[in-house]
Formats: sequence, C-alpha cells, structure tokens
Amino acid sequence: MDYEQLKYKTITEIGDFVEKGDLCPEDIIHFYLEKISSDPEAKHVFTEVLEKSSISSAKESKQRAKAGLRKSILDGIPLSVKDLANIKGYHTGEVP
Amino acid sequence: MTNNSKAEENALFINDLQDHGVIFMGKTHMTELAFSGLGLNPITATPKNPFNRELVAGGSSSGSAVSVSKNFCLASIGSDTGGSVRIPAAWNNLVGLKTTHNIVDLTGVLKLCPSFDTIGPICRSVEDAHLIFSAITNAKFKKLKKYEQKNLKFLVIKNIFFDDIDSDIYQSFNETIETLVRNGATVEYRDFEEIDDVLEISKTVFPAEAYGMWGDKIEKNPEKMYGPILKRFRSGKNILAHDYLSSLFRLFDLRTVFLKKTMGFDAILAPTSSIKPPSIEKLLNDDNFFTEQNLLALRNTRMANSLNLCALTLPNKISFSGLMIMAHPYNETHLLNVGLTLEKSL
Repeated sequence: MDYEQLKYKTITEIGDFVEKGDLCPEDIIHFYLEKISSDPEAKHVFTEVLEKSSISSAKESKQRAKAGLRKSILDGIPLSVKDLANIKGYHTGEVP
Repeated sequence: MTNNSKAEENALFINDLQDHGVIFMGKTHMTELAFSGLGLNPITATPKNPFNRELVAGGSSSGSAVSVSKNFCLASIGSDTGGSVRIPAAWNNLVGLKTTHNIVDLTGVLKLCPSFDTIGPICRSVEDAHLIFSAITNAKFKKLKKYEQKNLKFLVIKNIFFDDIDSDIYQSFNETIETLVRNGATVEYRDFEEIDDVLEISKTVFPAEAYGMWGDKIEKNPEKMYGPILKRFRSGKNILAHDYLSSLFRLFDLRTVFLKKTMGFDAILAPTSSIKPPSIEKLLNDDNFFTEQNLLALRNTRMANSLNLCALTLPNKISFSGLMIMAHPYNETHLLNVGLTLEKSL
C-alpha cells in the first residue's frame, strides 16, 4: 500500500478499507507520524504533534475494527485541529 | 492572549469527533488569535504555501489547511470568524465549510468575535466535509444527494464581490458560471445595496468585539504581538458602546432583509477570495501592503459571517481561485448537496 495515495481517496473510501481489514489505523498513523517527523516544514505547520496519544488511539481503533465494533466511518481517521481548540493536557493558543 | 496553563478538558467538538473514533494527531499554527486572513505569523510560524513556497497559505487556519494539502493528515478543523476556514482552503485548493454561527457548540474554543465565531472542516471533498459536519453537530449521518444542475437557481451579487479582483480569479469564476448555465442552471445577477452597508458595519463590529475580548491581555505586552495584527486589534479600541450596538442592530435588520430578498435561490455564488495569496517577503517588508491585502482577502468571505450564512468553498479551475457557495443559516445539508452537485463540474 502506498499511503501517499490516501490523499486521492475520500474518508468514506478509507473508512471502508479499514472496515474490510484492507487498511489498518495503526499503519495509517505511523505513515503520517513518520512523514511529519521527516519533513522540516512540519514545524511551521504543527504547534504540537500528539504522537503518543495518536498511537494509542490507533491501537484501540485497530482492535475495534478487528472486532467489528467501529464507532463510525471516521473511526481511525487522523485529523489535525487549529490551535484555538482545547485538547486536554496541552496549551491552547499561541503565546507571543 | 496567552494561555499558560494546559487545558483541563477537551473542547466539546473534540469529544464529539473522538466519540466517532477520530484521532487527533496534531495542533496547527494560526495567525495570532486568528485575527487575519493571510496566514502570516512572524512571531510563531508561517506555514509556506505548498503550491508556491514564496506565498502565504492563507489564514487564519493556515497550519490546518497546509496539514491537509501536504498530506500530513486527512482533514483538519479550523475556525472561521471572517473567512479563516475558507481563505486557506481556497489558497490550498481544498474544500472548506463555514458553518452557521451557533450550530456547533464552541465550548472549549478560544473566542475572537463571539457574535461571529464558527468552526468547520478543511478537507479534500464535499463528502468529507459532510461527514465531519455531521459528527460535530451530532446529526444522524445521512448520505448527501446530487441535484440536477438544470433545477438549480443561483444568485451572483454584482457589487463589492468583484471590486479589485485578480484577473485569473475573475476568469475562473466566469468560466464556472458559463459551465453552470450550459448545464441548464439559472444564474441571476443583481445589485444588492445592503451589501455596501454590511461591509461598512463589519469595520466596526468585528474589531470592537475582538478588542473587547482581548484588549486587556494584549495591552499587558503589546510589543510581543506582530505590528499589523496589533494595529487591527487596536482599531476596535475607541469604538463607543452605542456605536457598536447600533451597528450590530442594523446588521440584524440587514440579515432579515437579505434573507427575504434571497428566498427562492438555491445558493449565492462568489469568488472565495478576490486575490491570490500574496508574497511572504512583500508582506513582511510592508505593513501597509499587509493591511490592504488582509482586508481584500477577507472582504468576500466575511459577508457570510456578517449575514450569518453557511458557506462552502470548492477548488476551482485555476489554482487559488475558490468558488464560494453561500446558503441561508442552518441550511448546511442543502449547501453540501449543492456543493456535491457542482464539485465535479469545476
């Protein structure tokens, strides 16, 4: 699987692959984390990369997919969020 | 403006998305306090435009849009008070949805102009926007439906939206209209004098609210804020309460008039931004250029915030030329259906 090609798929299509077991949420997260950590541009994009929690959430998502208990089409889909929304345990907003 | 303690709870919409199984893998850079449409932030970081690294990426949800266009993740949630979802979406050739004010619970989200703040997705397709919208509004997921283009009736507002427009963006918009008309859609052009008033009022109410929210904190360390952003905040400093209120009440009246006059149209079409992303270097070297470009970038998108419309931007033929589709408040499903109907024609 060339994960770079995920950008040509809709979230529904990716969700369907996960549902069928053709894609694994853990592999998707590892692909993106690896891509972020190897691109020097990423530090201008992200204020924080939530590596640990992403990996553990992806593991749980993988288990749910295996058990046929996915929460929704979005289960296991990696998103980012603008730094003005609170995420527990992290700073919000940019401090000049 | 500084929030030195760590958040004790997630924003409510974060919980909603996590309940759907979404994995949040990062928080993204933005313009200071989300108060500019360009995406330039010399204080923290300026994400470069992936399509031309000399240009800004649009803001204020700059990092959000770039995280998607660089394929660091599959979609992002940005905020939109005057265009901050739609401008970076358009300048990254992505889809962006500005939701109706108050349709999403904003508990746990930093406020900028509380009468206008919204959040919404930046993503690659209308279908993706719909999926995320359904999750953040806790709506039961129902598939979108495509309309027949020949049954659709669109309005194009002639005044304001096309002033000082970039020629490529103008061409891109006109070609799209020609395609729609060829496909049988009805497109009506009208002048709306109310739009002139809405633009004038926005110069009062947005800065007044922003300074009301943040003035005290900003003035403790004003030197730490990027000059042009500070200047924009301070433009709200000397607005009298009665001027702010009379402007706001006038805006509420204009909303009613606007809704009445646009009844019967499926959507209003406009170029998302009338300009292309400007050069990072030029913005950094010329504060007047920054101010002028910032106001131009926000002018079209902010109409939807002032009038409390929901609005979608779709990538159009020429790079950076988003097509903005606007619909009445709480009509996101219809708006997204229209978006789906037009998406493949662009």
